[in-house]
Amino acid sequence: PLFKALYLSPIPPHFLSPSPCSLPQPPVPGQGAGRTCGPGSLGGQFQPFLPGPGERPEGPGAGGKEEEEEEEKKEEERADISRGWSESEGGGAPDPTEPHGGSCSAPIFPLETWNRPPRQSPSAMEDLLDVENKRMADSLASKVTRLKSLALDIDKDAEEQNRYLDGMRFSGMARSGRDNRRLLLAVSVALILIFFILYYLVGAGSGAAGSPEATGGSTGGGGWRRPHGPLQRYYGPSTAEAAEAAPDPTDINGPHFDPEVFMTKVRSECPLGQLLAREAALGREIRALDSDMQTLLYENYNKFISATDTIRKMKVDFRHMEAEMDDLAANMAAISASSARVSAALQDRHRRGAQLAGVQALLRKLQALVERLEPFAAALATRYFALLERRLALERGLGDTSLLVRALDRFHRRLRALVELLPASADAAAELVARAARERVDRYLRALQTFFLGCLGDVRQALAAPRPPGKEGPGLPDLLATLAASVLGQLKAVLAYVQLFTARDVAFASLPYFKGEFCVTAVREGLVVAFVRWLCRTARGFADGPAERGAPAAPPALLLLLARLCLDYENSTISYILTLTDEQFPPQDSGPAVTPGPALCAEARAAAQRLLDHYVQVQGAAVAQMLRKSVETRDWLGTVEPRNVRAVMKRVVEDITAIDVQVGVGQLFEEGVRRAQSSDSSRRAFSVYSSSRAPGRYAPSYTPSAPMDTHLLSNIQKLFSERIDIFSPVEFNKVSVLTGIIKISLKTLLECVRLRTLGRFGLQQVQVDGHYLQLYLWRFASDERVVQGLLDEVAASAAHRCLDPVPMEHSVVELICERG
Amino acid sequence: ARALTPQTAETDAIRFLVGTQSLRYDNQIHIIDFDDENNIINKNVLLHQVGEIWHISTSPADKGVLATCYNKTSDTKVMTCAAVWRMPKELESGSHESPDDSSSNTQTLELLCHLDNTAHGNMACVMWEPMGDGKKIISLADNNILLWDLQESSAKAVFRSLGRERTIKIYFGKMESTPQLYPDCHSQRYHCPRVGYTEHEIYCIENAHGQLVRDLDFNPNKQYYLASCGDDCKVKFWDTRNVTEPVKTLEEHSHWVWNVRYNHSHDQLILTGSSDSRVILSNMVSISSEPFGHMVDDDELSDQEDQHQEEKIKEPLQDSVIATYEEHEDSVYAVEWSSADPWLFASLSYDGRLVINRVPRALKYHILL
Repeated sequence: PLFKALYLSPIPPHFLSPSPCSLPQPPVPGQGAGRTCGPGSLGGQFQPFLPGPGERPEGPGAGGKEEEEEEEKKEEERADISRGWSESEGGGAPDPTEPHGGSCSAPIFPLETWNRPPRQSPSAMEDLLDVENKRMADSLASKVTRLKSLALDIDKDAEEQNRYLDGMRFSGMARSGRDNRRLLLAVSVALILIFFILYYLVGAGSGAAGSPEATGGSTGGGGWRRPHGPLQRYYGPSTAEAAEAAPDPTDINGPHFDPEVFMTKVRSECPLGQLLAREAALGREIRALDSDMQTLLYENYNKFISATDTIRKMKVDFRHMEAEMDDLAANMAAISASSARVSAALQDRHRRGAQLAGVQALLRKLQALVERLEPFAAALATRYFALLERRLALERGLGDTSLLVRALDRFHRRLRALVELLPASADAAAELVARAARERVDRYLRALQTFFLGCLGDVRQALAAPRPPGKEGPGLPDLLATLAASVLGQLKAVLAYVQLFTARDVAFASLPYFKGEFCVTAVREGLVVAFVRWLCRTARGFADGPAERGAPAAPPALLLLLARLCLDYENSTISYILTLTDEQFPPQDSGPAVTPGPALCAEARAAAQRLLDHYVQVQGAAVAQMLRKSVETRDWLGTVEPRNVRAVMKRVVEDITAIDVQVGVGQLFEEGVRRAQSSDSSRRAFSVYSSSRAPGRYAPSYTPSAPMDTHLLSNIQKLFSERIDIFSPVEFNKVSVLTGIIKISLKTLLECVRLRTLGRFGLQQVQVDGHYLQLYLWRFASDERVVQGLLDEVAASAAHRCLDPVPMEHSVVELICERG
Repeated sequence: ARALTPQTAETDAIRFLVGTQSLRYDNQIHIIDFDDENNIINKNVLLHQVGEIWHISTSPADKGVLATCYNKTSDTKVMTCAAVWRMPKELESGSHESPDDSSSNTQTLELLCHLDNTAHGNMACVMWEPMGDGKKIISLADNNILLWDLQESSAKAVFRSLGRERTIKIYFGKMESTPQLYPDCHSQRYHCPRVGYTEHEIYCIENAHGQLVRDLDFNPNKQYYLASCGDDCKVKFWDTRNVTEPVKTLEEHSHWVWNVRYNHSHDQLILTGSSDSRVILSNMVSISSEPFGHMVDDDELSDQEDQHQEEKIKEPLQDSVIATYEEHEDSVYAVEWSSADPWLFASLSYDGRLVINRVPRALKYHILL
């Protein structure tokens, strides 16, 4: 781009297409837009420099050919606009209608008119001009290109020359800068001259080539239309003579160019005015070209000068650099010397460092040895522990706890000696001891449980064993006492054993674990509380057990016994045991939370309640089953007149009496009875009441006259009597237990009777049975009215289910019952 | 009185049939109409002169047809027989009012056929095929299950004798699409439903209850669930696919439980009647066919705030006793849901008192909404 700008700029503007910048009016906007878009890449490149579409840069560039054409076409289009434009030459586009008009006197135009008949049709003229224009533009462009390449070559040559000159100067031939400059100037001038000569020759050749195609009709005058005429004209005279006789292409190219001939030719052929005008124009052009040339020359010269300056400067710099290099070398020498000194000094240190490293390696080895030794010791310790544990495991049986404690104590002492050596093993040792203690406690718990189960088994056996006639087996209270005492004794023994762990002379007893956690967690919670809980659970298991099919139902007596045991625990034993434990193993204030005594008591009570309820249900079901069978199997319609109480009823009474004995014997649940004083008093009252008034109450319900009244009466009675919950929980006393059993039995009787249809004697039999039951059962029940009410209902239902309700005389009933 | 049944074929009016038990008077079948809007009970009486009624059941297809088991008493013998009856036309729908009280307009039943059981012993109960066209009946005679086809002039088939234990009740189950029999024998200690047609035992729940099993009912929506009750005061829920353990056990009654009934539409509602004179309505949500999430889904449709509030209320409502009805003075021997109104049920006690109750309104809305 630099060269382009450099070498294109001197080309006179009128060689190019006329620039619209000089137009008086701005172009049509549409045209401007089209132009900015129309040109190729170059046009785009120039665009940034365009302040507006109306302005046009002077150098259209190498690829500006098309653009120029375009430009010219446009020019023609607005021919009327450019009418007043005088400077236009190449694309002159003068209006054909007024070829001579105005100031439009291009130098080629007279040639045209000269070559052709002056009066030609305007259109032909126009065409001719157009073709001419185009050709001229083409040749101009090619010339410019060539010129450019030539300039490049010249530039190169100049540089070479420069170099050569420089070399000459370096070799000593050079003189002062002034001479140099003069020489340079001369050389460049000579070079430029050579260039222009060359250019002239080349231009002449091309002109000769292009002329034949340019004009068909013209013979030799076609050369006049060369567009580069002015330059040639300019340079031509510079070599030969400054005259306007140059432009004959054939002559000018040829070596035999004779300005004289040319001059004469011109002089002879042209009128004076035209000659003058041409001379003036040529002179102007020459001047312009000359000034351009000078500028170019000057610029080149400037470059030469700057190059020389640079070279000179470089030379000076090199000299500086050499001096510096010398300095550097000196410095390096100094540095190496000092480095040698330093290394010599360091050698001593290095020796000492090596010594130290050796010592460190030795130390590391030693440490590794120690490290290896430590696991070995630890392994030994663990092996020792393992051995000890195995030994302890061998002690799993309930061996002598004191022995174990002593062994553990020795172990612990020995380990404490080791503590200084292996601090890690101390914790492990304490842990081991604690574990051993815990396991021992666990084992005691299991042993206690087994013992308890064994005791229970004994009790069961004792209960189930056939009693030899005459000799009473051990009663329930005895069994209970034995059971409770043995269990308690065992528990105490276990506690005593466990206490050995916390004895004062045992070394590890002083460990914080044994002081606090062991007492509370292991002994109190893990042993005592766990045992009590387990006992309650086991006891409950007997009550809930029958639900699981296949399990042998516990004998009722056992249930009773267990219920009593649980109750005893609730009342006293638990608190006793807990007090004992707390005394022997004083809990710490900050210890973990302990299960309070009342919670255990509640558990025991719940278990006792469950057991007793279950006992009542089992016994009640047994009695009820008997009654049910008796009612269901008997043919109540065809029965004969009752002569005595049925055996079943007697059996029922016997059973209930037996239960009463069982519950009450040996004060098993006697307290309850004693406490129920209201029941006592009512019983006494009832003995009178039942003998005197109960029959009276019976009497109306069996009057044959009012069978429906019976129903009504019973309904009314029911309204006033309380609702009876048959399977309700019982209290912990004999009366309550028996009342529960009786309720269950009688309700069953009632329901069974209701399912039957009775004959007259059937009803009477029920009557007898009911009376018998009432006679013997009232004293077992807490409230005789319950028995009374239930039996009334049985009687009423029987009467209702009877086909022929004729009740027996009450006296007869009483008689039969007494007899039975 | 022990016999109570809803009129199964009637789906509009709330109507129950009650059979009386009286040895010395003519027995009656009372048709009880309950007018839900006006709270009026209307009663029509049919004479049933052959004997006291122990069991009654109505045909699922024909409103006018019912079957009874009754006691025929002679001098020395009591014989339980069964018969199929048709009630008078005008009573079928029960629409007409009877301003006069009971006995004035008693009418008699028309005997359709007599189920002859002389060869098999006493009839304990009669059941209609629940989904059928009212042509098939099974009955229990001592320990034999009899299948009757009313179309073919009382043809009958004896299935099998159920062993020596006394059997109290049988049931027609409805499982799968084909009508199959699910009679079950209640015996002393076990309780084994068997299939009828192929006469092969499907499953047997041993030791279902500690004592006698009194009644059972199949979940109408989940046929593999059944509820049973017995003399150990418990109601147990079984999954017949795994009969070793009950799914649930209710221990609310304080005496024998005589009756257990699933609600036909909302099978979380369980009705039990016991000889402790109580009727207990329980809500067994956890084993009902209506899943828990169902109600929540419905709630999501309503307002968010309501949902939160209701969820709070709903939480504790699972598997609980809804209500205990203590209106009866004597043992309750029969409870039945109405076939027309799923929120209504009747209970009958020994003294002849019939109590009609509704499911509490709050719960009803809770289930519905």
